[in-house]
Amino acid sequence: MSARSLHPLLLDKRVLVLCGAGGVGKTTTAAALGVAAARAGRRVLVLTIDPARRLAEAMGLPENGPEPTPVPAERLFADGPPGPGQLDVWMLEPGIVFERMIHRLAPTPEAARAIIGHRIYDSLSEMVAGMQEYAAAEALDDYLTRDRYELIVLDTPPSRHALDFLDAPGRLSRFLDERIVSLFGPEESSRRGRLWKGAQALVGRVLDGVFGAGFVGEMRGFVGAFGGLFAGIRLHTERLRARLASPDAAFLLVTSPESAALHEAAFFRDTLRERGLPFAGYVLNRSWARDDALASPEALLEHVGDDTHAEHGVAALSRLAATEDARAESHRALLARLSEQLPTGAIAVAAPDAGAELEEFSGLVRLGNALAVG
Amino acid sequence: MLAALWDKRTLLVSGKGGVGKTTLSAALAVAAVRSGRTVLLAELAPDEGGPSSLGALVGARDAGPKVTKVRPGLHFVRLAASAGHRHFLQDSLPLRWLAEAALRSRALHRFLEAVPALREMGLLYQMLALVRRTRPDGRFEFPLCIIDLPATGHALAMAALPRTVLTVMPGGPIGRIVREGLDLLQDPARTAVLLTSLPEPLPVSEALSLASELARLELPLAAAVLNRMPEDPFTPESRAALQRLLDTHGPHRGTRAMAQLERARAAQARLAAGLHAPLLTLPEVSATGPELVERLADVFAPPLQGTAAREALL
Repeated sequence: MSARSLHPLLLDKRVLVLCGAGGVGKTTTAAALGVAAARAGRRVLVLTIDPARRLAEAMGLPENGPEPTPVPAERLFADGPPGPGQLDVWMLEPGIVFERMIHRLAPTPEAARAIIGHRIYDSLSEMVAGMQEYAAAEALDDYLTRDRYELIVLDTPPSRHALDFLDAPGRLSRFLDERIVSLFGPEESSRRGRLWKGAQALVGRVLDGVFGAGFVGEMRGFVGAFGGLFAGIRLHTERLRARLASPDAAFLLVTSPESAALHEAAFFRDTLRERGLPFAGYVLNRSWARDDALASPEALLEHVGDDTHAEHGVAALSRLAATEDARAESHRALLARLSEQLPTGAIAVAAPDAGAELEEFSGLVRLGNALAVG
Repeated sequence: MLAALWDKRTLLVSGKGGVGKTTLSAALAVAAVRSGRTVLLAELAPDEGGPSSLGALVGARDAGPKVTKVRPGLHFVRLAASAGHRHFLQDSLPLRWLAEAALRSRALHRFLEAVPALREMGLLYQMLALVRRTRPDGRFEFPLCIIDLPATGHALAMAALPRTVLTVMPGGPIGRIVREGLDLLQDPARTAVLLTSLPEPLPVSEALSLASELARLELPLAAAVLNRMPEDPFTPESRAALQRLLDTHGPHRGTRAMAQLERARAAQARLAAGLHAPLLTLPEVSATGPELVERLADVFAPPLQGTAAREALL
């Protein structure tokens, strides 16, 4: 077991959470790791939101199905005998997840229908920050509870910061903050007396002035209907937190070889530590850090003969080789710096720049192998 | 190529994360200031914590939601939803004491902050106020406002606001503000949207889908900028001759960079073909940070205006 390989994680963990800023290739990495773990014999679910469509095509998936879709064994084991592993992928639709959660948590089917049928519910994703993140967390919790998979690879929703996923339940609970709820809470008359009524009337006047008459009444109706679910949502959030903090889980930061990567990497590691979450390491994506040990372009000169175009072509390739060397060198330096700041047991691996290959399933297999072998 | 930009009131610079959008915003502002324009460079950051990368690029002191003067003609501000909310409450509540009660209500503040649509509304309100701000002589204080839109999928959230807000809160002052904001954003005489991308398959796909979103929201896309195009050292003949050599003798060092160059060329062609707007391609420049901003500003060189134009005529 090499310290620079993700292989042990793929075999031992129950949850891998992939974090990273938008555009670093997180979804592709999640898919490739899922492929590698399934080919190593585990029952795997890759949970993702909003992947690139070509990736969905490579995996043979419908967009946003209501349930996980199995990757056919003939695709998963196209290059050899089939193993015991299996791979399901779910491109989850936050709306579906949320609706299911409401049905599960609501005391009666009528109560669930009252929430889902409310006019404000349709605009909930604009009303509540972090709905996507929350839906991903909720789906993860659900599948962990059902125990159908040995490993779940979670691709967190695209965001500016790697940590948005972790903050989402917090943001949701801010929305559910008692002070906010009390703004729109049902008017309680008997207990609180005249002073309270006066305060509520003032609040009502301000809110009508700000949001327009009518909105406040609608919000009251919605908060009243939704209110019964808050306790259940908090419970789920806490249970998932405990699961993610356990040694069964591992967090990986996917990053790209840009200048900001180091700073972000250190910040991510420290924040996970502060929150008591298991940090497993970094994946430096689209990197040229690996040495392919190819011959230098000048070796082609002996085949050029008197073809001036070929001579020009080789000279041009030499210039590209110089660019390539400089970039590979800087990527190796970045990988070394990432490795330096690792806590014990964590790893930093470079994922090759797979370019356009990822449009095919075999490209995911190769990327998964490269990551698992290290 | 970008001539159509310089007589607008607002330039909205959009694009996904990591495509050089912030650097481009800064470079446009520096170029406009050099040509004698007075510019407000605004960062529309979704989160108000953390340092401002745009401010650092132009050497601005980060003063949060307050406009600061960076150099003659160049002002910087970081738009903040909270500042917009405060102005909005003051402007929209008819009675002073009511406004003060609202400003003191922590629950109301939390609600305005917690609801994404209302955060966007606050940002839009502050942006509108700054675009419209006039000097005592009646002229606009910031004739040109360059706005670096947030990098996430929410780049268009402001433009999608009316639908959201009007569905949830159809009456009242918020709806009115949002409609006024949209009038400005959708007016091609006053607003130009710039789309930024990189010459790679995925960023180009994202840029094209962003372009169709812009069209759907009726936002005037004026041009697209393709950043960091690698230099092409080949002639058509030498490329073909080299390819024949590589086919026979296998890959050599440099073929990885060559594959990237081919991807970049294909991505550029796809963006140019799929876009109904002019495409400006910028070369890969080895500089970073403020130096890169100054060098890209050289590329834009808008027509001289005001005092600079007069000096040039002398």
